[in-house]
Parts: sequence; C-alpha cells; structure tokens
Amino acid sequence: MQHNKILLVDDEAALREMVGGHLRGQGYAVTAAASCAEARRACDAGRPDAVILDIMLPDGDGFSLLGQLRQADPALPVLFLSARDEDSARLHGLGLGADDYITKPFLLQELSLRLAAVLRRVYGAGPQPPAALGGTVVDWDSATIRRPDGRVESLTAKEYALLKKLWDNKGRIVTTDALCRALWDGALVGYENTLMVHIRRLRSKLEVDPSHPAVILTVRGLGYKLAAPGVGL
Amino acid sequence: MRGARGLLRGVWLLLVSLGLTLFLILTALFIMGIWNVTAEYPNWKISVREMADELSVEGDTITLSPALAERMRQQGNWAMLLDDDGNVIWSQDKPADIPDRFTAGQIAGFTHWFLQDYPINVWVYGDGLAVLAWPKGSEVKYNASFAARYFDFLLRSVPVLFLVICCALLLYARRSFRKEQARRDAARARWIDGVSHDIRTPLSVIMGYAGAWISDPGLPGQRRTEAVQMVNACTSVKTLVSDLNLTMRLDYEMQPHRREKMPAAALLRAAAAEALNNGLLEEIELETTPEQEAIILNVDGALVHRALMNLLQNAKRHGGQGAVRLSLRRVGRRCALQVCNPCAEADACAKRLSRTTTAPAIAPDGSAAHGTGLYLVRQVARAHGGKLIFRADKPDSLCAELVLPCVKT
Repeated sequence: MQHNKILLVDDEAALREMVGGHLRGQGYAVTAAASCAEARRACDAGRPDAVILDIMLPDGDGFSLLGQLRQADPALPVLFLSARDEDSARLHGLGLGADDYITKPFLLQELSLRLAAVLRRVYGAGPQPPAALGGTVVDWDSATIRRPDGRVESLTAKEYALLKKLWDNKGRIVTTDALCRALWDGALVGYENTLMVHIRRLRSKLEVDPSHPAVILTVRGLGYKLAAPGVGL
Repeated sequence: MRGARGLLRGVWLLLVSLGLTLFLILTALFIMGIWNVTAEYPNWKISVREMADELSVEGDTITLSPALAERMRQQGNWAMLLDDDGNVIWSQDKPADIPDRFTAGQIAGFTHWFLQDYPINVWVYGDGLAVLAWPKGSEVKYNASFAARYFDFLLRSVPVLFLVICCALLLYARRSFRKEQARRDAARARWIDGVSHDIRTPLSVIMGYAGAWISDPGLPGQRRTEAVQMVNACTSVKTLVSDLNLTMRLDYEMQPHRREKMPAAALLRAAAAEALNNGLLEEIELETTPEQEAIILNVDGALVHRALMNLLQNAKRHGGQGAVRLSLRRVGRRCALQVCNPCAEADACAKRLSRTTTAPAIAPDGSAAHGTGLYLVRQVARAHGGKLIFRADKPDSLCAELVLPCVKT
C-alpha cells in the first residue's frame, strides 16, 4: 500500500490499542496520540497520509485541531471518530471539511473500509481489481465485462454506475430509490421504468441466463441485490 | 462574568420590586391611618373639635368636662376660647407668656401653625374660636396643598400603580421560573450527553473486538455465535442510547428539523431494506400502487426513517410468527405509513399500546424503562404535526400507523 501512514488521535487508551492493532493488521503504519498537543507533535515529525480524529480530547476539541492541521496541510484527509452522534456535530465536522464522520460504537471492518474509501478518493483509486460475478469478470478500468464464453461486452456510463453501486453494496439490498439517486441524482418518481430498462440490459450482458438472473437479484417491492459469494437472498 | 451580571440584575429587580411594594403598603397604611384612626380610636388623641363639644356655657360661665380636662392635662395640652374680638374668654392651663388678647393678624398667624412654638389646632365655636395647644416640639406641621385635579389623579393612580407592580412581580417570577427551568433542562441535557459519551467509548471496544472475532475464519462456531450476539447486544445499546439522546433533544426542542419533500414509499423501502440488510427481520412484505407512489411528504427523512426502524424493531420484538407488512394508506390530507405484524390478541394490544403516550418511566425496581422506542416515534410524529396510532386491521394483525401530513399533489 502506497499511502499507509495513519495518525490515530483518541484519549481512550483501550480504543487506541484496538483500532491501532486492527489497522496495523491491515498493513497501515499507525502513530497514536492521546491529545491535541501529541497530535500536533506527531504531524510535525512526519506527515501522515490520513488522520483518525476523536472530537472530545483532554486539551481541546477535534474540530479546532482539524482547523490547525488543515492550516498546515490543506489536503490532509481527516476522519472523525466520535461518540457524538447528533446531526449538528456530524454536519459541523463534515462542514469543516472532514472526509468522513463515524460514530461510536463502530465495527472495525466498517472503519477500515471507510478509511480505504477516503484514501482512494484523495490519492486516486489506482488500478481497481476486477470483480468476479458468477462466470463473468468485470474490469472496472476498461468498463467491460468478459463473459464465460470469452465474449467482451462494453458497459455504458449508466450501466457502469448501476453495477458499481450494486458492487459497493454487494450482498445487501439497494432500493430502487437509492439506485435512481446514484444514476440521476433524483428520487424514483418517473425513473422506475428507465431503471428497469437499464437493469434488463445489464443482466443481458452479465447473466448467463438473463431470464433467470443469478447475479442481479430482484427484491420484490424494494429494489435489487448483487449476489455475493456465500450470501443468498 | 455573565453569570455575575445576571445575578446583580436579578437582585436589583428584586430590590426595586420590594421597594415599590413597601412604598405602596406604607401609603395605604398612611391613608388608612388618617381616615380610620381618629374614628376607631377616639381616645388616642384629643381633637380640638372634641374639646369644643365638651365645653358648656351657662351665662358667663364656661366649663370643660372634668374628664376631658384631666386627659388634656395628662397629655400636656392647654386650651383657650376667644371671642369675636380676639379676647380670651376662657382658658385652661394657658401658659403665662401667652397674651389674653389677639389681633386678627396674630390669629391668622397661629390658626394653622404655631403660637410661640406651641402647635395649635382651632375650631369655630359659636361666634368665637376654640384653640387647643400641644406641648412645644410635640408636632411637626407641613403645609401640603395640592391642586384638586392633581390629588384626584394621585388617588386614582394608586390602584393602577399597584396593578403595574403586581404585573411586574408576576413577570419577574415567571422569568425566574423559566430561567431555572432552562438551567435544569441544560443540566439534564449535559448529563445525558455525558453519560451517552461515556457509554459509547467502552461499547466501541467491546463491539470492535467482537466484530474482529466474527471476521476470524479460525474462530470455532460456538464462539462465533457468541461474538455475533455481543455485536447485536452492542448495537441494541447503541440504538437505545441514540433514542435517549434524540428523545431528549425532541423533548427540549433542541433537534433541528431538516424537512424536504420525499416520496412516502421511498421512506418505507429504505427502512425495509435496512431491516433486512442488518438481519433485524427476515421477511418483509411491501407492495405499493402507482397512486401510493405519488404520495409526497414534507418531512425530516432521517427522523422518519428512525421512527420506522423503531416500529420495525417493535414488530420484531412483540410480533408473532410471520412476515411484517409495510404499506401506505391515504387518510384525507394525511398519509399513514403502516407497519403491521402478526399478533394473537391484536385488539387488546392496540388498546394497550394506544394508552402508552407518555415518556417511559424507570421501573419501580430500578430496571431500565421499556417503550423508549415507541415514545420516540410519537415524538417524531408530533414534531411533524402527525400522530402514532395502533389498530387491529384483523383479529390477528396489529398495525402501527405513523400518520403524517402529505403534500398536495
């Protein structure tokens, strides 16, 4: 991993130990700080690739520390990891320019996925590994699908966005409204039939038997789900 | 600094109010004293009129009743009676330095004031003048003359002033009460914030490690099940803490509403998808017609989503075997988002749940309160001008309806 230096700022030793251990296990180099002063010293010693920042710290608050860190390095990615779950705190943090806001308690897997997403967004995705769906392989970089018989199908922009949304939520139901928002930045009203057309075309390129889909599954009344290995409907 | 300034201001207001009240009470007492004291307590002080009434004239002999004469001596009074020409025709205990004849100018001089420093009161007696004197230095006289209109105004303004001061005192009391209430609310909000913060951090450690165990492919099956249960328990506590926080913020109107127009069906779908994705429910039925798809609400989507999740949680916890049904129903200019679940005694359940409209209380044994989730749903409904109702749509099916105003389409 190219960008792997993480500064973890939290005043709880047990939490620093747990998150630090998990991220080190994922290949990150983690520096831990228990206060604003320690965090500033750590940043001065060497620029981290991202900062995971608690809000309530013994010698200040994370919002102010974000401002100070960004003053020195405007492009520094920061994720808030906070016990404050009210909308006002979340919106304040994101409004200050934080890249993400995760509320405690949280699952470590969720934290590492969201951290990876932020790093991809800030430093570039790099080549994305192809996705295997049944017998077909999706090459995200060339926006193509290689079918089991070797035939290669190109994805349109809408099909690509649709498949990417489903892939990012593989194994989970994605409502038709969420898919419409991803494709047209709007709600379902008026787009339902168009969405069904795109789904049908995508199935024709992706499925071995489009009339009996095994990859893009319909969840009646709700939306669609991309079948993930080991995850059924 | 602000606190000290506020305290000083409060003390000042209190002192002013107390001062004005005291002034009013003294004024009232003074007026009562003038009007009533002489009438109610005739023996309190001898009046010149009383003395004149006690004089009796028989031929050239003038006498004063012995009882009054004795009282006058006890109080140090002296008295005299002047004829029309200013001659003293009768006196009692008149000091030697007081002349026996007075000119009209001298009479005019002492009538309302002093005669050689003796305070004087006079009363017309036949053709003459009865004079009652008090010991030197025993009385102070002050000429207080008012224009009649001004005096009338003063008398009339006393009740108005009294009312104004009463209103000021009431307003002050109300303000003080509200400030105290706001202080208590803020303290409670800080306490809940603090407690929820202190709970969330250790909960993160438990949930984080349990989640990591689940991801470990080498974990034995039984241990994996236990880890899943730990994560589920942590999620429940997380939801409970969030509900408590949100309930408090809605109660104290600290929760900003971010309303936007959105399809009611989309809200139902999002809640159903989350319940299925998170494993809260295994089966949900949701069907909508094109008419129902056109129903638009102007709501805070996050709050309504939270309310629907709580209804789904409630359906899971208290419902019987079978799928949970989600549906929409238009009720006039309102829309009901329905969450129905199988329930053996749906009618009785609906009646029981309809009665629980107040905030859940801690149980007598100190255990945690039940019903926070439904109370939160009611709060969300109220915040949008709606309501939560329970009804049995079939003998074995209980429906919770979140009724919200819908936008005209």
